[in-house]
Amino acid sequence: MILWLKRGAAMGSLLFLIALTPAGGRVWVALLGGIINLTWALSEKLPLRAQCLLPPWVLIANTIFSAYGVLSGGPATLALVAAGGSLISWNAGLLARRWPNAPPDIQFCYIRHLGRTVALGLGAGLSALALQGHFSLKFLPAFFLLLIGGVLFLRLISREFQRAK
Amino acid sequence: MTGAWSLIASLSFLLLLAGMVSKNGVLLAIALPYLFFALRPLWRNLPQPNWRAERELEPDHLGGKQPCQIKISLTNTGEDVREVGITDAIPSGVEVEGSHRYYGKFQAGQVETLRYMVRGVRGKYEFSGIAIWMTDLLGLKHKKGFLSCPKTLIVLPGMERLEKIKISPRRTRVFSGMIRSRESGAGVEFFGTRAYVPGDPLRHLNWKAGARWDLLITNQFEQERIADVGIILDARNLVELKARGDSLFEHAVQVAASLADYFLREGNRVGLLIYGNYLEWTFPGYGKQQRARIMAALAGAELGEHWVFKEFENLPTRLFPPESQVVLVSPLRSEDVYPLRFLRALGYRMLIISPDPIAFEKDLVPQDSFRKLAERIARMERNVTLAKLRRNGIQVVDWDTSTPLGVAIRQTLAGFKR
Repeated sequence: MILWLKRGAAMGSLLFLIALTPAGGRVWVALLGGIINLTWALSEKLPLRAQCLLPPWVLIANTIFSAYGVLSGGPATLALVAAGGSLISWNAGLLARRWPNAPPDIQFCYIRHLGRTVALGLGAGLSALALQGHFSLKFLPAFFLLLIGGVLFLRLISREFQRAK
Repeated sequence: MTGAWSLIASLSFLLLLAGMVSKNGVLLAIALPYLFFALRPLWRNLPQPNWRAERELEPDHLGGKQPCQIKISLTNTGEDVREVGITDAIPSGVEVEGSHRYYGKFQAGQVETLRYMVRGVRGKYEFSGIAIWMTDLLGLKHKKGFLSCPKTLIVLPGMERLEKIKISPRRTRVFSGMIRSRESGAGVEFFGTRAYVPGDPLRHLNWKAGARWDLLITNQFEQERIADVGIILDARNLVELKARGDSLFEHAVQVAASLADYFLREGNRVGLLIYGNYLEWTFPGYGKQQRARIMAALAGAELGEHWVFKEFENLPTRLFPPESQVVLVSPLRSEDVYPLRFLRALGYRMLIISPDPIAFEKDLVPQDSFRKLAERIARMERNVTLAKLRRNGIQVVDWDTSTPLGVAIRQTLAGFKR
């Protein structure tokens, strides 16, 4: 499951980067990002040494591509989602390498933890973009997003209080 | 914090910096998911487990090729841990069969048992404890710890069961044993004759001598007693040779073990001195406990290099009872002759078992005329050294390590008269 999460997120990130970078007119950047993310998605076939070296460089490359896409005038939302996808694939790759046969309950637990962190980060990022006027939401989607975000945040806070007791 | 955390924190910082420098709000927004990742470990602490570990070695004293089973029982009496790596710290020189690692979750009250086998060459191996590595599931924060559960594994030296070694120290102890004591009394070896006195057993009458002298003559027998035997193992680095993964010192240790086993089996009082880096003295004693003590000392015997113990001149003779038997196990150097002669002059009976260094290393040198000449010269030097010792009444067994020790001792000591 974790492996597929990593692959799925890497492919998603790849698609968003491809959609993001040609907007700025640089096709080779999209190509390079595509090759790197494809290699990362199939990194289990690579030698162990390469598997160890690859994750930080993939994250760094994807971050640079996202920033480049933004600076060259690409859509901000795509850049943010691509960065989020690369964060998910990078972190899932770390767990898959550290603990390849993690039991299902741990995998679910991991996905919950990762989901919370990414949801908070992306939510905050999207809110920031919305504040800057990069996209406008209608009342209902905005209401539901806020509601989900609020519930999630309250749950997290209450759980931390419980742990503190 | 882990390397992954450092990476994500650096990236979030760089994105924030780039956003602020370029006054680009989108870059600041992209930095937010990274920032949440970087802040997460500061927000959540790792669980607090309470570890307990017990280690069992079965057996804790091994022979050379024998395996030892190690069982470690681990208990967590604290909080649940979602991801933990546990590795038993293996001392160097030990071969491991099976897994000495655990990776996974560890719940409160859970008990896990690690079982694996180890084999080793002669030595003392200290198993100090267990390395524990905990992390959160995102791999951003980790904690390392070390849980102490020490045990010592002793791999005893290999030995050969020796059959008969003729020794005759000047002084023996009072208890009966197997060593001729130079005193008449109850025994089996003929010692001499004397005039019959009433009370002597009639079956000891020497009829032939009586017929010649026209007297009643009775046979006397030599008492057989136990003796003090001091074994000296030469552990000086300068006499060591290594070839094809084999070591001359290891052969010497095996000789010392075989001798100690033999003399203790015969009921003697045996002590051991390892002469190398320092003086490691095992006080003389009898029986199985003393055997275990000597074997443990030999298991831990190591080569040493100390200027005080470079020569045998500083051999502490007071450790050995006067006129007792001293057995030296050493490859010998020509410089060793004088101090050994001095030891003999003090009244000690000396037996030297000398593993032959020339035979040990001759196959390492390429076969050519120079090698033959060099071997001849080295052999002559060694023969001169051994001859000097023999002339002083020291029994010397020149042992080629490729042959059984028992054969070499039997061949050398067969014709030796006291």
